[in-house]
Amino acid sequence: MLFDYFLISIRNLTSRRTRTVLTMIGIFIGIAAIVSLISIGQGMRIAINEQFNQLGTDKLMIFPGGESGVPGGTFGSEAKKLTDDDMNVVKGVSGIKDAGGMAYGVARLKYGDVSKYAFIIGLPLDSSRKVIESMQSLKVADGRDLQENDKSKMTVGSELSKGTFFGTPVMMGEKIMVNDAPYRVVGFMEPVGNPSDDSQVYMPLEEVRKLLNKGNALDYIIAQVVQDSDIDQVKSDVQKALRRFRNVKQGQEDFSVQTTAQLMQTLDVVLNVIEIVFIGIAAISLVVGGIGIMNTMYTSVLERTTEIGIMKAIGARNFDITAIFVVESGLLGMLGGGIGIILGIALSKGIEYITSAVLGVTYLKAYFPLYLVLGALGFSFIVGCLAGGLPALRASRLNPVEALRYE
Amino acid sequence: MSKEGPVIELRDVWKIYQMGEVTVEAVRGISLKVNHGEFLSVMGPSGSGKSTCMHMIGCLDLPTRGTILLEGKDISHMSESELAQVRGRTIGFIFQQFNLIPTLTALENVMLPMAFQGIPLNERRSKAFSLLNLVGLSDRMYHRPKELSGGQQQRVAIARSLTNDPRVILADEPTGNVDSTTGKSIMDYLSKLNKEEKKTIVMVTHDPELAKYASRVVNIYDGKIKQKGD
Repeated sequence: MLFDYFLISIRNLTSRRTRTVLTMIGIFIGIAAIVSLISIGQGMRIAINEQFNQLGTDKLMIFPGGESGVPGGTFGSEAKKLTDDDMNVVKGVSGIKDAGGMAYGVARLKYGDVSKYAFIIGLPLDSSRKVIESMQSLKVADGRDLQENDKSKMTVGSELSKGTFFGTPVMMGEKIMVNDAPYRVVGFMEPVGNPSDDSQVYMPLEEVRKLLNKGNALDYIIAQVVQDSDIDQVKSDVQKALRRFRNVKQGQEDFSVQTTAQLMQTLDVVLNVIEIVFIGIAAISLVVGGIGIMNTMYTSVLERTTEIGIMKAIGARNFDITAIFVVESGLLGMLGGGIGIILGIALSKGIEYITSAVLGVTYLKAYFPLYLVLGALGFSFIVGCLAGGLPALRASRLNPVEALRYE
Repeated sequence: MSKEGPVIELRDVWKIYQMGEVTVEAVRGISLKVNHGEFLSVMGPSGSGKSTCMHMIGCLDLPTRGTILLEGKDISHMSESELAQVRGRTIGFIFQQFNLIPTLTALENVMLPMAFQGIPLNERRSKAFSLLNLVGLSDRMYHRPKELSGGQQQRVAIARSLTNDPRVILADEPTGNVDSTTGKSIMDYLSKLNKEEKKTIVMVTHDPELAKYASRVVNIYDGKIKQKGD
């Protein structure tokens, strides 16, 4: 019987092609929007997870200020700054293998006649540098990395070496003025994947502190825990030690300690909220599409009144009539959904292409898991069925004699 | 089911419509027995109530008052879906307008009543094939109704009416929309079904010529049976 419901529905949809296509447009716009948003969202999530996996789960991050949750979100006053002393306290906690700190800020860069502002990142050059580097995934593409005892030296991001930053490519061995002090370029970094990160320059920590008048302040401490130790326990020990050192009570900390897992969770929550908002907006268009299907189905019931009468005369129960119309509207939804999925895939591939070709962001990859495709297809079928429900009920309740007489 | 007694019996059946302020008594106390194997012609001018009467004989409509017995069983209080099942099993319809489903092929149209009875696809297909062969449309099986002539469409409708091997075939002006030659062949075929297959046939018509094929004629005027035959 199910076969026949489908047969009748398909025959009817194909015999009214224009209307079928017009009705489907409403659905496929909604589904295309949802599919592309989810695939981009998922792709972003995967990229972020990869980054976190790369840096490992054995790191603690310590920021100045309370629980801001975002690295570098430092709006704290002078008194709240982290310093080398804090780092030494962290290093002294049992379970900590090593710790490193960095400082950064905005400075004016001048190359040739062009002046521009950029982020300057101060990296430690001692043994703790390994800890920082594992976090930053910084690799030198050409030239050399910063070395211990380097002064007045810098490595630069790929935007500078490509020439997109200053308009002309920065040459190896040349000098860039940073807040009027000259620094020689000794290395070009590999691209990270987004233009703002790739426009940064890297310098010895002490140089950055000097340029930005930071004294012995650190914007960010990363600590690596000893292998196989309980990271949550170490984290609470670090908090305890820092509270004692900075003389603050529990609950009033002017610093925050986070594990990579925590940070990942925080980002996950943010991503979820963004995704839900966007999908909510796309869902509105799906509702509109559903109403379009409902309208078409009401028209169809009216047009096929005689047909309904005939089917009832030759033995169709009310249930059969309902099923025929629900299957038909469900198919309408699913066909629209199918086209929507293809369109959505094309759309997110387009977004992926544009972000990498035009904006230079290479880590945004659209991702299409099977559940997304099947889920979208199933969802559009359900939307169709729901939209067809009321018209189908009306059809099934038609009196056979009156339906046969209808012209 | 016993072959004795009537297939369908109407006992003092009334059909009253309320149209706004006006009450219309379309059928006023008709009692009628349709016996096994007979060819009954129900005649009457338009507006006489013969169509309403036919709808009730065909279990398409229920009476306002009175009882309808189908093979001795009271159907007057059945739900619409029960009625649909009974209809599908016991009665084959042939309409003046052919009433085929326009989007389905001839073969699919013939298969459809069997689908509503839950008959498996293979069985349906082979039966529809043989029925279309029987009415001489083996070369038109995959055509849609609009690609067929009136006579061909009516033959598809006849094939469709026979699919569930019904005991009664109800024909409503079966030749009303075809030319006279085709009309004659359709009537001959109905006659043959009645005589050879022992199908009970109830035909509604206003054409006295057609009534000649019937073994019994009932005339309806003003919602009542006018004379003899009952």
